[in-house]
Amino acid sequence: MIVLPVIARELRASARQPMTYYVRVLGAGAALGACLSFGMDQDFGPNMGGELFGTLHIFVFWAIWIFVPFLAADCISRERRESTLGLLFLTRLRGKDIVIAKGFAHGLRAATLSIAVLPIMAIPLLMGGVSLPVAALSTLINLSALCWALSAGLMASSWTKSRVGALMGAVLFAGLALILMVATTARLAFTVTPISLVNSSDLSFLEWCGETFALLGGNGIKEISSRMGSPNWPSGPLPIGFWRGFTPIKIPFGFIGHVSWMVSELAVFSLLALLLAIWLAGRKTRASWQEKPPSVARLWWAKTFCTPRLWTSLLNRWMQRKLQKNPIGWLEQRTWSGRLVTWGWLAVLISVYSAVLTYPHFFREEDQFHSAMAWMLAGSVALSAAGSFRRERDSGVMELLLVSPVNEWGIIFGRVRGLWAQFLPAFALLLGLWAYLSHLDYGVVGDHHSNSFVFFTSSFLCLPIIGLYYSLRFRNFMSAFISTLLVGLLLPQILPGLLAYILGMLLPGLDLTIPTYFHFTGTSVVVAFQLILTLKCLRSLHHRLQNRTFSFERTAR
Amino acid sequence: MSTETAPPIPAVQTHGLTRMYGSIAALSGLDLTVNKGDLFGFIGSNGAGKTTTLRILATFLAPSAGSAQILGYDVVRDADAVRHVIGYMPDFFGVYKDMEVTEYLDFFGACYKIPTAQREKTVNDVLELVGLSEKKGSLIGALSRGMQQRLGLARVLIHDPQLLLLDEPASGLDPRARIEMMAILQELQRLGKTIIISSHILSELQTLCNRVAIIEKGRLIYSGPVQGVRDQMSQGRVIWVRVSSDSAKAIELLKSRTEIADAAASDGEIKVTLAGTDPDHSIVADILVHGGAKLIELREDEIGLEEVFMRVTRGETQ
Repeated sequence: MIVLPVIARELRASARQPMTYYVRVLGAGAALGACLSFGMDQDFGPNMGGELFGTLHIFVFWAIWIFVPFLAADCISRERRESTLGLLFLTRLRGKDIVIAKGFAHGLRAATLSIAVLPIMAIPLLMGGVSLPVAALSTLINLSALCWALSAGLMASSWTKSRVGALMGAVLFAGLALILMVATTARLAFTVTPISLVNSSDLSFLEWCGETFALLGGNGIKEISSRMGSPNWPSGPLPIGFWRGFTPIKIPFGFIGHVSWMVSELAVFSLLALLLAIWLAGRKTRASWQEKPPSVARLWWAKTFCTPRLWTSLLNRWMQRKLQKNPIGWLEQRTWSGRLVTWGWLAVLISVYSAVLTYPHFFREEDQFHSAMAWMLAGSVALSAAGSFRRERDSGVMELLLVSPVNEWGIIFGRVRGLWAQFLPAFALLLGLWAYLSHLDYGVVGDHHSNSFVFFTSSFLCLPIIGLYYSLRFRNFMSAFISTLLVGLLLPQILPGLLAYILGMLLPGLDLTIPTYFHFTGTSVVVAFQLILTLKCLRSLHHRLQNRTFSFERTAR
Repeated sequence: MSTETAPPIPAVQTHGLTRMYGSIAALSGLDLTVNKGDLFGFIGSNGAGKTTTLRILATFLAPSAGSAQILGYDVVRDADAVRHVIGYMPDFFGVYKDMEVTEYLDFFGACYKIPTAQREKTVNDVLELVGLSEKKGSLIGALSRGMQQRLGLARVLIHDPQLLLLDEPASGLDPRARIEMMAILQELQRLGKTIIISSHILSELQTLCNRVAIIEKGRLIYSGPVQGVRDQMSQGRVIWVRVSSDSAKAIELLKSRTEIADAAASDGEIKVTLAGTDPDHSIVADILVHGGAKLIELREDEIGLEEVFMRVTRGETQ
């Protein structure tokens, strides 16, 4: 087989990457965390296995959608960047052979992640309450998700040469693949299964897609597991979720059988979708492996939409001022893409808020909406920060900066200020709108709002520092990004509770109630942890820069 | 009137400079002196410690032991002051490929705190000096290797440093670009800069540099004038002789003298190996003429820097 040497090379390369092992440990750790959190919430009682299995299914499903496209995103684009793709094409390999090899290797990599999670998945099986059909259903859904997610990653990777472009493409293709997966499942439920599972008079196709989405990646498996034991299932009263759309079928295993049939068909379609993606990605790879000058259309786009046209002298003066004041921060805002992040976020916030304010139920779900926007913005800060020093490290400019009069602290705070300046308009607008709308709604800015303000303000200040540390610490961008999210956002939320839980177990008589000197006591602890972690990262970042203990990937002459 | 020249002022002095990477010594007690105005060649095999030395002098790395002074400033204690007086060009490009040429120099000018008003002129001046004025608005990624190299040199000069540390500035360049690069370096020396240049292209260092240092396995083997190292290596110098008469008789004549270590026929010529270190090789002509041989040609097999390098080093790394 001609693809075997490429697969072997890919597997060997990924075996040498620490990221491969980190992801496995992280996956297993997170699954264990989800399991413990379930236990702390609902106790590991008898017959709770079904519910726990459903929780873990949700976890695995979303882990596949988050990790697989990102891990596969740079596999072909990297070859193109490093000019090794051309060498592969000098052999007898064809485009699709390369994509098959890459797809196989990355599929296997994702499968090892599932194997790492397998021992945790065995816990609910041992607890009882999980039937074989439900386990098979979950496996088929996750297998299908793997095919779609891998397709998204491979497509994104074949489309571009740049790492950032591939990652952004992976997000877009993954979103598209998820929609396609849900729509395919919904369509299969309508027409392809032996009987229609849908009581079509009750629901439109779009609504049914929503219900299918709940089955695939929401509480569907949990619901099926927990209710399968019930004698009148599923024809009895079905209070919530996707059940309301199903045709009542009297025999429980008949119902699960039909759902399984539908999901089996989904798995076959997913496999076909993966094959189609491989074919398309192969064609694209073959067609674009050679370096070509940018096309006329591309140049026109760049000139028309990516070049300053209005008030250019003002922009130049402004950028010169920024350069003089903070050259390291200036690098963040120098390019049109850097400025697009700043003003794009501002435009998104203005557009989204303008749109949702006219939605009649907005004020009922207002807090969740503000929080969702703030989390996304925080994620965007983490993304920018985690990739921030990478370019300097790869190009060797970091070495030049370190022998210039800008010292280590100058480099760190110059870049941190640059990142703050990049996201400040969006954050200020978001928090301002949040405070204003809460005030409109409640008359005052409530405690829970204050808590959120404090947390997100602290996140805005801390994430750039944590992200910079990890951008220097890790060669792999994904490792840096995940670590930034973990240390900057997740750990500060988990650590206080975990610490209190452990202390409570070790010292049963200890009163762990936090004194309520302020309104936002819980948040103050979270923020304190966030600040401690940030200071630790700042110290380590300075230490690494001072001792030059960071890896270079310089382009030699 | 006294004709004595002023003693040379040291621009760089290292004493027992040592750098360890774990248990491996990249530099072992390097003692080096480079005088102001020198164009100093730094020669050694790959992994001999050249880049480590330049990185220490550029304040990028701290020495594990020993000390180094640049224009009187200690590279560890006075690192900030050192950074203002040196220009360091590493053995890679270190460029942002999506930046324009002027933008790149402007950025480094700002890093060196050159005021905005002065920066534009400085950028133009250095671009003119390295011959890149016509490429001002070009993207760096679109420049050829030679031009990127010149841009690197322009960056080094942006803050008008007194000492230039250039690590392999001519590697990967085509012959024309190399010659142009060397011409720029000579011009910079003429402008009073002290230049330390590490290179593998020894034939060019031979004509370019006034002093050289040879380093192997982190230890200094030789440091001094280029001619000095030739002389030091001249033991066993070879003279080629052509005679019109009986060459066997000429060989006999030569072998009978103690000043001659060996004489042998080779391709119609006589290869004469001198025994001593005396640079005067007229003794060969004397012996032959007084012995009655008809001398047609006499030339010294001049030892080049490459030959010296091959003789004094074994190509060993740490």
